[in-house]
Amino acid sequence: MTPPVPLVPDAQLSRYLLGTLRDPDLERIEALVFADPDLFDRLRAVESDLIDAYVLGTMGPADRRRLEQRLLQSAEGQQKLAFARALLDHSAAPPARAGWQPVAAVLAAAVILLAAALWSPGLPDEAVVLHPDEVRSASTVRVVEVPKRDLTVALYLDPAEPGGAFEIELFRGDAPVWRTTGQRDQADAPELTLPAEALERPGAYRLELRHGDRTLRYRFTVAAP
Amino acid sequence: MPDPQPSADAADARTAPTEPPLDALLAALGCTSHEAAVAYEALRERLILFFTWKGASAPTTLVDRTLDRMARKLADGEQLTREPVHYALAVARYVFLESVKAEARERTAAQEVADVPTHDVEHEARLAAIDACLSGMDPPDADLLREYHAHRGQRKISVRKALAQARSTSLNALRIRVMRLRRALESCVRDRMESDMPPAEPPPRVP
Repeated sequence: MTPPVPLVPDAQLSRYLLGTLRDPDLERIEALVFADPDLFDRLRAVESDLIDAYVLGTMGPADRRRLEQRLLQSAEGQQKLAFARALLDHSAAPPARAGWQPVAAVLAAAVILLAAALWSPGLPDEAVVLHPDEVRSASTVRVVEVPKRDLTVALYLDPAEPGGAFEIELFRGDAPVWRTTGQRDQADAPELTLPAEALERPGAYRLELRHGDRTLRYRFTVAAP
Repeated sequence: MPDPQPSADAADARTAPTEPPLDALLAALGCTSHEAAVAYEALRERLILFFTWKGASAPTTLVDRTLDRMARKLADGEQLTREPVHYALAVARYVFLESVKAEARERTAAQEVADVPTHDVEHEARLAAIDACLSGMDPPDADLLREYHAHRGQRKISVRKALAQARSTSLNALRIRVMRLRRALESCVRDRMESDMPPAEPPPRVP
């Protein structure tokens, strides 16, 4: 019978990659990583975490230096870093990349923004931008923590669309939990208050925005804090 | 057990007039040709990571050298008395030490390397490639990749926990899943940037 693979903590895998592990641990970990596919997968996950920490600047100076001395010596390593930089940049939630006005100006499709508080010109850190399902390249299902207070819902509709009455309905699963209506001028980004009680239960939610003959759906998940 | 250290120079693929036959190596790696091919690729991956994180300047060259040397030894009739992956690791260690000795390794100061300016054009091309490759993935997988990498700080931790909960899986299993998706995406992006053409195939499905 094959003996069980001993548990190797992530910290030890990090030290292996960064070159601070010494024999006999070094040889032992190296042999385990070569022999055990699951451990190799974990090592690759730790590798991604290390590279991401480097790109995001959350790694200490000594480890940064170690990573540079090892990973950046080869074209392969530099490519890994460049890919991580691009992936993190690409995935960054819009509030981290763009200010209030750019979000409104750049996205032609309707956007809904949920936040505990809003102020101009920057977006609050906890703001969550929801894109409609129809916008494929931005269809990330956002995760929102159960809010501690009422949320402001800001609507960013395409300025080219006519103004007029709109209706918003919130569903948890398929059950309606909140509904409101309003009026919008063409140049206006209406703000509504979404009561915290409507989002008090974790689960899958959907906001439907009905405007003229269009219905836009915004999916998001509410998670326990 | 055959000595991995080995009359290295004589056995080195660099000096060999022909490619070493792979049959013996593949036979050592798997009973069927499919098994052997899968094991060969897995071994290559491990070796690439091994050399890359050792700080080798040309990891893939050293991987090829390691595999060539193994193949040549086995083709010469040597018998393995331990697992091929362990033998490969022993050969890889020697190949790396040789490379360290052979190369006058002039390391650029780390900070200089780190401060190499990002080429905006290349970065933009990479972003576009990520966009295209994500569009070719299953939407739930693409969403998972985006959401997993979208947040920073404390929120990152809570979002990842929520993602794991929503999938009824552990945080570690989620992390492995994302790592596999990320590797598939990285591979697609690399192919796309190298060919500068839309990929013929979307990124491979991650089971």
